[in-house]
Amino acid sequence: MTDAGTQLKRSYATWLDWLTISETQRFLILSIFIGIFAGLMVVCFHIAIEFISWYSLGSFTGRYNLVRLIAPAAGGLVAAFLVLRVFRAAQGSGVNQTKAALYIYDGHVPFSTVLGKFLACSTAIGSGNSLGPEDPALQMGAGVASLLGRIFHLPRENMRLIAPVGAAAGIAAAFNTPITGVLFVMEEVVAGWSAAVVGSIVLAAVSAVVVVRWFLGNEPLFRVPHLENVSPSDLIVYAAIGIAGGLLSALFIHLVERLHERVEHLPSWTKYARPVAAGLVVGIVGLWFPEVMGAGYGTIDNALHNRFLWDTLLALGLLKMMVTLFCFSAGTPGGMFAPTLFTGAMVGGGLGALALRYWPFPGGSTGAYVLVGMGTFFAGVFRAPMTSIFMVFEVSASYVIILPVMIANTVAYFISRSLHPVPFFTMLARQEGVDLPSAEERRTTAILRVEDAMRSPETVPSGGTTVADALAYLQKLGQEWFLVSREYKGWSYIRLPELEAAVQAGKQEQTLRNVFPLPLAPRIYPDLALDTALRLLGSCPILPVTNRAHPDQLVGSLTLEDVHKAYGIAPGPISPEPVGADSEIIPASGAREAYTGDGEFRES
Amino acid sequence: MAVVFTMAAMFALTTLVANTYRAQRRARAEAHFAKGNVLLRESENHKAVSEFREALAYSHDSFQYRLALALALIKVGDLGEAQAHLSELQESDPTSGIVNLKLAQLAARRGDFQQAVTYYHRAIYGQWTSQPEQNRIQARFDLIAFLVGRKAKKEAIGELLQMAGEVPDDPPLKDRIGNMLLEYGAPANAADIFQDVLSEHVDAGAYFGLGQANFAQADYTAAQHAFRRALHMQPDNQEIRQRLALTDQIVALDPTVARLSSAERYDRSRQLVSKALAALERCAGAEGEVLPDTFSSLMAEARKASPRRREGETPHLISLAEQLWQARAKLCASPPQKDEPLAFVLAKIAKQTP
Repeated sequence: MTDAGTQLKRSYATWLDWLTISETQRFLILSIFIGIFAGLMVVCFHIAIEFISWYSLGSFTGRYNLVRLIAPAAGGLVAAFLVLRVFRAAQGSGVNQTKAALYIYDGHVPFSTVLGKFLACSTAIGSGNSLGPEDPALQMGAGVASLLGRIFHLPRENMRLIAPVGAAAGIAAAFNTPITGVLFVMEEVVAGWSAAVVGSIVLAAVSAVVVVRWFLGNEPLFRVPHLENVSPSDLIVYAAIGIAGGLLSALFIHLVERLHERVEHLPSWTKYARPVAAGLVVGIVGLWFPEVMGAGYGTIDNALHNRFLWDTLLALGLLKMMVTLFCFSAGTPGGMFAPTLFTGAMVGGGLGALALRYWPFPGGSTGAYVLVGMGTFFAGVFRAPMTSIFMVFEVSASYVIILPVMIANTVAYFISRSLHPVPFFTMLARQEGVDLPSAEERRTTAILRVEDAMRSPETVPSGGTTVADALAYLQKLGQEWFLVSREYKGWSYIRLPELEAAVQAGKQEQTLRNVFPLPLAPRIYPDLALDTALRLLGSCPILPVTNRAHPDQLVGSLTLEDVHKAYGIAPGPISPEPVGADSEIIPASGAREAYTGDGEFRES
Repeated sequence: MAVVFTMAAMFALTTLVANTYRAQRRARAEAHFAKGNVLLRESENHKAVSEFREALAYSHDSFQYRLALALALIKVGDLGEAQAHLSELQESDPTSGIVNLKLAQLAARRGDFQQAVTYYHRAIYGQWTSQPEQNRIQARFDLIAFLVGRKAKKEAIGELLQMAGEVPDDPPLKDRIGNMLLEYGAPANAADIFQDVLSEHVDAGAYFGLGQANFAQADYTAAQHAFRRALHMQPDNQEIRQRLALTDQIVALDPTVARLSSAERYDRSRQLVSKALAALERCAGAEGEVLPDTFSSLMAEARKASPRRREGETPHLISLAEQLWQARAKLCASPPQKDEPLAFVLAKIAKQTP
């Protein structure tokens, strides 16, 4: 290298040192880069789908266009070839694969997945198969993030978190809705609110949406006509739409589960034939109802503008559900977001339009029912209630509709959950032999708190009590560790054998504070998770439990023994059980392996 | 550095792809829109709707395409969807005249009075891209027709007067306004309009209208004058001629006309009595009625009216004529003839009598 080059390199290194940004700050800056790359990727993906659609399906004007019959089948065949032969890691919808990257593979998503997803899904969706682009965009975003993480040699802990950052960027860009992207990833992919990653997720999502809007404009996904204020009697109709959405979504999950199981038992050579068969089904339905082909956003927009009558809306909703079921179960690569929005929108609109005819009280417009219905099926299938509410709010930019959306989506969520407790993605993951966490499971799992385990407060001796008096009192209580109140606020702890030893040493008349060091014990509160208290018990054998409003008021105490009792652990050492043939073994994750979504693990 | 270069390269590639994409979308949208317009001209309205829908699908935010679709939907009778599109257009451009006009017409069709009036006003005072004056005027006439159809004549008259104050100097238009005011029962306002026209222009239509307005206000002398001027300008106009003839008869019969001598006034009042008596006798004969005594005494008194002039008796004769006419109205089931001069004169006298 020349002297000038060396000089430049040294200046650059000095500049970087001068910046002295922390690891967290580097991660945030990287999140912006991830958002930009994901946004660019999604723009190209969106355009690719459109181009393929234009040149394979043409316009939907006029019925009985025979191209429509064969285009989905042909597209399905090409997509099947791509994911079965060339890009094997690109199978599936993309959400579970991203979760697997987070929980199993230390954030590793091979870049070939990104390419495979791009090519296969754009072909499948553009040619008319009834699937959506958002889930693939989510996985492509995760793939881009994973690649950048490897390039920048992120530490392991940050590499694990990079996948959801990219996923949020991908889905926010695909929907053009940053809030929805963030919420969905937090609810479904991360399966909880993690302070470590939420800032990065937000930055990535915002960056991605900025890029998408730069290239594709600020147009929302749907043009929503003016909505009137909701009358109280209308809320009954919206609740009914929620009930319908909940019932249908539970049925849909059940059907996917059954059909998926059956399809997986078919001979392996049918893996190419299945997407073709599903494409033919779509093509046949598409001869009469071309609206069910592809993602269907144009049709939702038309439905929002009162284009269809109630019977057509209901028919479109049910047909879409059917063709999506076939396409997804057949293994055609693509996502489920768009079809669920479509189905919910049509069913909600159909029921609403029917209510407008026969409901005795003045109602809203069909467009409003379509909009509210959109979220119900989504909430019922994906069990992401907050995402579904904010999504409708973001795409409509109308606050007027928020109350009906909350009611309908919540009703749908609870009905679907009660009829089919296992969430959609969890069900798919289990069918594929993987157990991934979900926010739904975490919501339903009870968290033990300190108040569930603590024991009632006893009178505690103060530091001024003599050793003899303290021993006489504490011997009656029958426990090993005790709290002692300190002179200057707080509590300390002492062990019974230490008291006995002090008496034997002739110190019985001295005060506790003169004999023992009395270190300060950390305070805990009744509402704290027991997991948090458990960590503190590592350094302090007994913890004082105090009132948050009155920190000097002792309300109980907590020892390790109390925690064991709360968790149902019997006293004594735990003996490990031998591993049998029926035990589940999850292969050790390696940076070179990838989860393909079909229960197999292959080298990337 | 490699990452930055890659990002720059991806930006460049995406820009190229996006530009091509946008250009294609625009071209497709324009092609569908053009085809839609052709189909509209050929009255293939349903096919035009499909083409406009495609154009809009390629260009969601195009005002022009959405408006074309909405107007085509109205033509095929799909008012629900048209309403949705028009509402959206109205939100994006609340001052658009054409959008507000169409919304007004839709509201009028479904009977929403308040909404229709609101949208009509927005159309009248809104922005029009072409022929703004004509469109505003037409929108106002639409509104007036709607108001009259809903029996809101007072509001219609108010709109006409508003329009009269705002329109440019256009005699045919003002004549039309004046005639509409006449039709809706505001002859005094109509007369003002016609006078205003005549102050700047010599216009047979305005003279005729003025004559009609004066006639409606029972000012038959002024009406006669106006009708004469109109006939002078249009001697072949039979309507004017007939109207003038009637007015002449009324004026000739009217004893309350200004600048009459007392003798002439007496003669006319006696003529009034004899015509009213004849009308009552005709009616009684036709009905075969046996007259009540009061009627009989009236008639006897009328027959006694002396041909010799007793000028102090003019008011009595006029009153007698009125009573005979009222008796006729009570007795006869059939109304008097439409252009009966006697009826006009006696109606005028009745209005003047405190």
